[in-house]
Amino acid sequence: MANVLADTRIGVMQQAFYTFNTTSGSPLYIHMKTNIPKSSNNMFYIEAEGYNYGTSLPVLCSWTGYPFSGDGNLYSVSLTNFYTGMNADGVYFSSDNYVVLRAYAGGHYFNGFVLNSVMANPNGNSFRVSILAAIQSSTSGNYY
Amino acid sequence: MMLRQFKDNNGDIHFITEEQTPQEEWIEMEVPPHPDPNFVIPYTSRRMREYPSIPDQLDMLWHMMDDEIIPGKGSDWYNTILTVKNTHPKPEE
Repeated sequence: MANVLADTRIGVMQQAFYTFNTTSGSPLYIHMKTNIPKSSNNMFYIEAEGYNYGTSLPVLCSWTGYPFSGDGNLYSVSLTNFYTGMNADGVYFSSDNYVVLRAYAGGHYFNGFVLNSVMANPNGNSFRVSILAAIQSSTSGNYY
Repeated sequence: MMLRQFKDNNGDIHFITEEQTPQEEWIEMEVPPHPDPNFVIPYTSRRMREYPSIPDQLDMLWHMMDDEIIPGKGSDWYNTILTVKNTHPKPEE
């Protein structure tokens, strides 16, 4: 629903399936609610790639996880920050049971990035990731 | 295409597409067309750009332990690093 660009899908990879541009330096957290359902077995790798003028640093960070159907838990969460213009800060389930990505930066003044994704589990290879809602918030825990 | 930005009563900023409907109490933000080239980067970010890498900082701490400037020599962490250093010794210059 909220895909902004016509994404490029190569196999199980989607490039620039979402583009995000902030203009205000604060609040410092960004929450992005995906369409990946809880208990879907859709093991995901999602990365943000861009440039944050507010920190004057490039952005390359990633969120991974495995929303296992067996017990409804989120396994194998990993947050990796390759370039630290913005950091992957957390992953959680929304109250309506979708995977949410949380990011943090010391400032977001004109922070521009795209999201790329790889669905790592064959079970989810055909799944097309999109962003249902996004907010720049002071909430450091769960927003959605 | 830019997402529209709306500020709510808490100061949070919602990003929505043309297809989505903002809540009534949200106020649409005016989006400046260009960033200010004289924008001053926050000191936290300026520091982050100049700090040594985390491995280099940890190595500094290890050497301070090794020189007994700070306690910890002989600890598990100290010995773990020492084992790696001994396995891959620094070449003689």
